[in-house]
Amino acid sequence: MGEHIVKSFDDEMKGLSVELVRMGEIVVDQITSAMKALKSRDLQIAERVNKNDKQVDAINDDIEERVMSILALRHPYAVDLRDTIAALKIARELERIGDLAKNCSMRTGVIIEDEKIKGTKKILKMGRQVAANVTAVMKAYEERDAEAALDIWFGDEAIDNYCNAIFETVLTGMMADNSSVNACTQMTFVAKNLERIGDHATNIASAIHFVVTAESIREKRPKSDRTSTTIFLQEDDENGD
Amino acid sequence: MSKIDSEISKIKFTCKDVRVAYSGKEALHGINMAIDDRGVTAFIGPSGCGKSSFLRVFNRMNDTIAGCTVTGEVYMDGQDIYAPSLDPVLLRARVGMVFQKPNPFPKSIYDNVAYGPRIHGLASNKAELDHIVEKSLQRAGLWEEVKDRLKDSGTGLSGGQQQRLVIARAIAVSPEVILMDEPASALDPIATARLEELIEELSQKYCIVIVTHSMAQAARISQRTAFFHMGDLVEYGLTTNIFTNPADPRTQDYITGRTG
Amino acid sequence: MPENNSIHASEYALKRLNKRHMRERRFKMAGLGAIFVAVFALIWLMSSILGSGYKAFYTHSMTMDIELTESLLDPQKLREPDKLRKGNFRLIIQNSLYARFPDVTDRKARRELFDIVSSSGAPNLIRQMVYQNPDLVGQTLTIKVPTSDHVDQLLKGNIDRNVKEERRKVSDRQIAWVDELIASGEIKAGFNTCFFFCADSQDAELAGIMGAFIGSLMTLFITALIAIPIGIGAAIWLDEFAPRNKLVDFIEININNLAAVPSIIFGVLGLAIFINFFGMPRSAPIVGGLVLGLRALPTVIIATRATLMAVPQSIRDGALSVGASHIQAVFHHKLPQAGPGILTGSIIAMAQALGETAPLLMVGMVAYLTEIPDGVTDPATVLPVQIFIWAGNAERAWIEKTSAAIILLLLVLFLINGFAIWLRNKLEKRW
Repeated sequence: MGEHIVKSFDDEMKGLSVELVRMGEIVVDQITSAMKALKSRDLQIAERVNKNDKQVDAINDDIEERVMSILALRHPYAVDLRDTIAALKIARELERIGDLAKNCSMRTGVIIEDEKIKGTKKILKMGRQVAANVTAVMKAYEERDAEAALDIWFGDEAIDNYCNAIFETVLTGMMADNSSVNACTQMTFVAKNLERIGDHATNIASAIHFVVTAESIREKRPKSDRTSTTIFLQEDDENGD
Repeated sequence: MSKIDSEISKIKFTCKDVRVAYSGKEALHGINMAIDDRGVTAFIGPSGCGKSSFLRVFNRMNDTIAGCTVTGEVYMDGQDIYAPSLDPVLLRARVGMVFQKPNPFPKSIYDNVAYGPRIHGLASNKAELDHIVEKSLQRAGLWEEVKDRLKDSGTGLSGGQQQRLVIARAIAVSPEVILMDEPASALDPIATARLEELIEELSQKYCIVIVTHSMAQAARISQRTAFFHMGDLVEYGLTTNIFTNPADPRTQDYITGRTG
Repeated sequence: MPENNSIHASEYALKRLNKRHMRERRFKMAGLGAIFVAVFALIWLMSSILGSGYKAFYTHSMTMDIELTESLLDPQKLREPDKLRKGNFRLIIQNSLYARFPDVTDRKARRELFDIVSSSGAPNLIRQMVYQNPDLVGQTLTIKVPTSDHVDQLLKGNIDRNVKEERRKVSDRQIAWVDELIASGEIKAGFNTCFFFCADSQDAELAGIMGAFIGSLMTLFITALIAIPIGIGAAIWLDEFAPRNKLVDFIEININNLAAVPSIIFGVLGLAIFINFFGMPRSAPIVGGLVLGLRALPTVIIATRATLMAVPQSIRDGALSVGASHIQAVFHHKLPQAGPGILTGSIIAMAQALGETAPLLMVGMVAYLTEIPDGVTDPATVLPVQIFIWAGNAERAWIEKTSAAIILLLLVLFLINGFAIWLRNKLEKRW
């Protein structure tokens, strides 16, 4: 694609993109750190994740501002319009991912109190997968790669499967040992959070697909999350999008 | 030509391989397109792309330019408007035109609007003419501003008012189509907004074809947009599609302001 | 000068700037000088014409008691106007003069005495009065008669009294009589009505411009009748309807050329076509008007086309776009817009025609005519030709006549041009 005749417009669009990629990097770091806190049972790391979330929020505000100014001053059309709107959407998704990562780290304190808790390994594995997905989706964004985005979109099924497995393990653990209910409950929340992060990554993937092709992904996303039906909880249609 | 047929098909103009040349130099290279009967069709494109030349095809204003030749077929409601039997004078009564620069006659506001009905004999007496003038000015959204000074000169009005006066003048002969050649290019934003509001209103009743340099304007008021480039019709489709997802890279480059 | 290091404030730049300003001042001075020369020439011309011409606007007349002796004029007491007209009014005037100066008895002296008054003007004046009112015969009237041009010139100071008698037109005796009559108030200066209302005459004191003026009016009337409608029509056709081809280009070029053709050529053309071929009368305003009409045609066409082209195309487009036909667009919109310009152009073309002399000489409008023309086929002359004729006369009195006629011609031209400018400013549309 050619460059804009107005060079500063190009600069603004590039700046928006760069800022978003930076935001993605921070968010991935937040996820990894949250997992690290869980793995090394380190509350300090958890606390740092908690603090860093403010940075994510700040970048989100900054991107909102940039988008607003581009819309108001540049009147973007076609691919520029899609790009600008997608930036707003993606920033929002990343901000939610940041929140969820923070939420995970906040639960670390309760979880690490239970020495015998099971499923940590599975959670960490899931966490790695989720972080990898977010990294991949941001790479797809950087490269405006609709194919890669589509792959991520379809790849979310694996995360759902992790989630299901963790639920089974943790619930079994809870049933076997009443004393672990506290930690196990938090564990299910962490698993759920990671699953939600995966969903947000697919939203980002769908936004990328729209930027490039101007079409939303038509197929229905494969859903394997059975946690809502596995046990107790009421309907949870938040999983859909 | 049957009116009912065209109502069903909702097509006002059909162009087949329309070529316009000035002194032998071709400015439009074979345009094929169909224009809807109701609503607004916008022509966009860089200067010299042939969009204004194409607009003038529909009321045969190109005939009045020395050395300009038009070939191809243009059907209005199924009737060939370049047929030798068709009188361009009558065609222009059916296809009104509004120009880039407001060009009211240096006569009174009343006479400006009454001119068309007078030459076409649309009113049999003064009362009827008064009625036509009032109705046209009302429809052009100018009546309230000028009703007390119909005898004042049309050239004394503001630019926006002049442009609406010119629209009233066009409406007064009861056309089916109104062609507009960059009608807002000389107007301030407020006058432009009023004009756009008027165009939207008129599009309920008339087929409006508008040439504009303002992409935002095309996006705001038209249902269909055609992008012309170097004498070719590059892309023609729903305005929403053109402005969110143009198919042709040339359209993309033009509307996003990129060097092609 | 701003205190900075910009290249525009360097010494070199300032020097250059100074040079540029100098050049500008020099150019301004040159322009001013040119204007000064032009204005000076104009003032010189005007003052010399006015200086010699103003004297023609007043003249001297002599009040005298005239006895209309019945025995001389109407011995049979018939009081028939036609017979009375043939009476010897010269003698009546002479008798009155002899009665005024009873000492003058010498034949030669008596002839000189009679030369004080206009030798044909004075008798004719009385003849006309008696013809119109035969009952005057037998009475004694006190009337004003024109003095002879020599006396007039003497009193206007154009004849030097110090010159030897034999070398001047007025004799010492005449000077003495005139001085006496002046002293007694019998000869007085007054407004020269004859100059405005009389036709041409061989006697300078009786010559007027009315004949030429009427001739000019008639000629211009014919000129306007020919040049304006044809010129405007041709201009409209060329501007709006002419096809773009070599023939039309050729016509256009030649119209422009025609405007530059020496006007005497048009006179030759008029002589050959209108007089020799169509057998029209010589010296008649109809022929002069036709010739001047042809002369003015290219001017009118060019002026009309210029104004038509100045009407914005958008006005015509506006008319066409509501379904006006081509001719309607032109006549309803373009022409009314161009109207003031066309009018101005036409008036200026008429003013030019008014000043034309050469072509009219060719068609015989240079004849000496003592009658004011009654119609366009009567022999007539026009103002500039009248000036030309008078300028050729030898006597001193004609100089002031010529100048005065020039003043009048210029005045008419100024008025016409002024009217055209006023009209243009008043009617001109601005877009």
